[in-house]
Amino acid sequence: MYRHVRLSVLFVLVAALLGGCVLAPREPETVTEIRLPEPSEEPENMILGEKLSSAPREVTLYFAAQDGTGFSAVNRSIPRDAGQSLPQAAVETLLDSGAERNIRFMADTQMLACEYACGTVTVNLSIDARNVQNPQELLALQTSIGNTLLDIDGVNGVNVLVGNISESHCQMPLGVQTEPVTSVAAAYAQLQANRERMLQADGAEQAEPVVRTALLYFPSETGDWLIPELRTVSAGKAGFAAALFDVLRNGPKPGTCAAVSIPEGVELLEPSPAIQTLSSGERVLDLNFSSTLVTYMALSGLEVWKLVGSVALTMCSFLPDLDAVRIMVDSEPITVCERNQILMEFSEGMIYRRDFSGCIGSTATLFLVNSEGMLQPVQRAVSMHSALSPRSLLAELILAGSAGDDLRLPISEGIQPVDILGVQTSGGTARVNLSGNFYRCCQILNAREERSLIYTMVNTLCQLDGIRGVRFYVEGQAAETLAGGIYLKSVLLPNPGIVVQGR
Amino acid sequence: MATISLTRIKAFIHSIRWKITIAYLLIIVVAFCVIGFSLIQLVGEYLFNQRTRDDQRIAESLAEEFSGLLASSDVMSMYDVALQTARAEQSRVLVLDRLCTVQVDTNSQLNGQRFITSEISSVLEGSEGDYGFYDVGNANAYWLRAALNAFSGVNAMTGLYARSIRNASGGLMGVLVYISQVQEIYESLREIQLKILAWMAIVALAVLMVNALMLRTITRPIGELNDGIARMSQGDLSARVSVRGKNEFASLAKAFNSMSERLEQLDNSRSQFVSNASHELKTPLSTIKILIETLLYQDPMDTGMAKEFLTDVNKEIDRLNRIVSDLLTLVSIDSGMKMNLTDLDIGALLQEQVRRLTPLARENGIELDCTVKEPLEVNGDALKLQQVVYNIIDNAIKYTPRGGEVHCSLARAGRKAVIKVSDTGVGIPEADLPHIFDRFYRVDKARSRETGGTGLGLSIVKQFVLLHGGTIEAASTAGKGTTFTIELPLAAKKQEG
Repeated sequence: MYRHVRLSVLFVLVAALLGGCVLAPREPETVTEIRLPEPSEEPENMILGEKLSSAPREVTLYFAAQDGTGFSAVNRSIPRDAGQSLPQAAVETLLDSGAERNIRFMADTQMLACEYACGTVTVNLSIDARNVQNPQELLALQTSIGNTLLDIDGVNGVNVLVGNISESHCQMPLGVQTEPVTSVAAAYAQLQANRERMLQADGAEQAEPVVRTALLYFPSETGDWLIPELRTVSAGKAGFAAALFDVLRNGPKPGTCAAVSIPEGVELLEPSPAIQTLSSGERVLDLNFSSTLVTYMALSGLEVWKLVGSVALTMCSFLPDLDAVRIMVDSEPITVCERNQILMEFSEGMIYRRDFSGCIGSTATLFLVNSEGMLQPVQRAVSMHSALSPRSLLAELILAGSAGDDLRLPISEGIQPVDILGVQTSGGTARVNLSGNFYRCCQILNAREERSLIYTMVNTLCQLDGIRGVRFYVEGQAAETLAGGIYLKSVLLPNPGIVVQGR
Repeated sequence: MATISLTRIKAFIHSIRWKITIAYLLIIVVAFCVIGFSLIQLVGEYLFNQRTRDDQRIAESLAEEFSGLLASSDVMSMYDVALQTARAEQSRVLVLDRLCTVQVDTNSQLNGQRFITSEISSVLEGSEGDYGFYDVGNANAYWLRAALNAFSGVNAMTGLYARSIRNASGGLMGVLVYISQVQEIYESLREIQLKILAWMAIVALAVLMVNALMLRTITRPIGELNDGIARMSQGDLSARVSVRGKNEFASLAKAFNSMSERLEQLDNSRSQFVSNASHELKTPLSTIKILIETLLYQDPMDTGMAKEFLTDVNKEIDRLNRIVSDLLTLVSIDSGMKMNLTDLDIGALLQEQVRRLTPLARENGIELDCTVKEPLEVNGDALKLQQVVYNIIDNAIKYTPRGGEVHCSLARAGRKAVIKVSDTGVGIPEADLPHIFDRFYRVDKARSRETGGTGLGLSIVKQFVLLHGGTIEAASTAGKGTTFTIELPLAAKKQEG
């Protein structure tokens, strides 16, 4: 009997052993502690204010040949002064290099201003640029600048003014250059052909319109800025002024942070406004609105300066040889308006481009957190300087994150723009010094919120030219994390995967 | 009732059927486990190795492509390429910097966090690439290594390949981590395992059924034999088992039946013998009793008659004595009689017995002669062979009427000495011939007793011949005579001559 019991037990054991080899779950091996690599110790880096990289950038300069047949491209490493945008530095270098190369039409020309906003560059040259021997040389100067700037990442259009006035070519507007020009002679011939077509169209009912690209300026939805926008203008029998006005009246493209500048329903008493030459020699465009303009503006809440500035900047930036705009209501010119409680007066109703060039703003893409914890890009109108300033952008981000309803920052209370103690950019990295208050406010964040907060800043800053990654410090010290998740001792690259496109 | 059940269970446990069943089950389980384990191991290794090679190839390609992109911190390009690969391969791609901080994650979950595994650590220490398998589970955590031969309990088996991203000068810039789902391979192995288990169950069931049928075929004859033996042990010698087929069990059944038949015959013979012996012993005893009672109760009795009665009593006592003597001889033979073997001249022995019986033959008016063709020697017991020859010739004389003849001869037939005793007597009926050597068998019972026979003579003769390794046969024609032929093996010396 015992023998059988022993045999049975043996059988069960053997079966269990063999079955166990196949069936039994193996105890998985737990990965033992692995040491993470640690960065080398670094000294305290108390960054205060903003210090942008002055590292030279490689830019291709296009010099027009003297005979106007083509361009020679030269790669140059361009140093930048603090706060100087790359297009501005490029134009300055181009003009200086042109002078060094004894290019006649570049020799005495100076750059008075460079407005870099929303991917467009408006270069205002000194009137020395007019000291050319023939119109083609001016065109060569303009296209040299245009080609050079269009070669820079992020630049979509270049408008070159001379003494704040758009120069005419063959009595035609040149418009905004959006494509590189390969031959000045060919471009000039094209302008001449356009002129011929315009002259023929004066007597024809059905004539092929002439198409140009213009910069339109719309008031921003938020803030007191006029935002440029590239638009195509098709001028027919009524001329470019009427065509430009129509496009301006149609309002900005949807999805931008710009608003309409001319209330719906408002009409010009003279549908085809023409440029007049005053006795002083100034050329002025009269836009005469009916009295309903006031009513409509009151209804829409549109401020007068926005309408005036939008129209003046748009018209003066495009229409050739136009000095000023007179905006009238029932033939009465608007001579005064108020912007941010500052009174602006226009003598005899003459509104020049320079009156509003300081109101030109740009847009910046800020990344805020939506209700699902994902980052959503939003456009905000900011000053041209802020659009290029990492610290200002972070300040805008904090403000937008505090004010937003649907889109906000994970910490909306307790932090202020001043909690961004400083930003320093070098070698493609923005080093952001956060305040101790900022750090303390982050202690309540969970892992997801911490990640969202960090990457709102990283993704926003990495929109800027020359910034590829962000390194964070707290009170100048290299901090491990803000709330335990994201490792701050590494340079963080943007996270495109958590970005969703919203409205 | 419980006792019966327990007894049955014990009987079943002790039965050969249970042992063979257990043996079969053990063989099946062991065989399937070994085959199944080996098969799954082989298939698993093949599939996992294949996946490892594929992942390595993709990861190496990505690492090479990301070399320039990581150097220029081109996250968008890295993310696009990684996402494209991840979607195409249903995998996950991470790009880590040298501090193990995730910079690109196609799932966008680990960005900014530090991520380390032993494979990544290996790459950081200088290796070009390393591969490992993890059970990431629901938490998607890479801390639990999954054994390739772990066939249960793995929720999300994941392969992780870490590959170095190096710059043009070979410096380590970061680590590319390629994560692929291998749970489907794992599930395939599980499926194979379940199929093997199912097959094992099916085969086990089938084998058990076949085994049950086979065991039934095997054990049924054993049971029948067992029943037959049990019946025999209880005295039923008529017990027989049915013989089916031609296998060993059929042979065993035949042997059993043969044995039982033989035993039954022996039992019948024994019964017959006892009956005959009783009868043979009782007859003279009854005669003696009658004669003595007559002598006792008939008074007065004539002296001559009394003497005659006493003479008869004496004869019956002699007869009893002979019967008892013969019985003792047979008992002695049955229990292994001791033989006094010597090489002896069988011809001389035959002639001597003929000479001894010649007066008796002459008295009965019978002509007795003997022919010995050549001197032959056999190895035997002289006294017993004398008794054999004497009994046969004596019987021939007794059952041959006056004027008849009895011829004795000795001749050689091969390696045997053949003694023939022929008479011209009354002969033996054909029906009695097979039984003439049986104990107490008499062809003519009255005549036999008249001649003073005990009915055991031929039986003793046959036993003696058989003890010498010889044979004895009788051929007879009723009314014409009988011939007894005795064949005895020649002595070795003679045979050589």
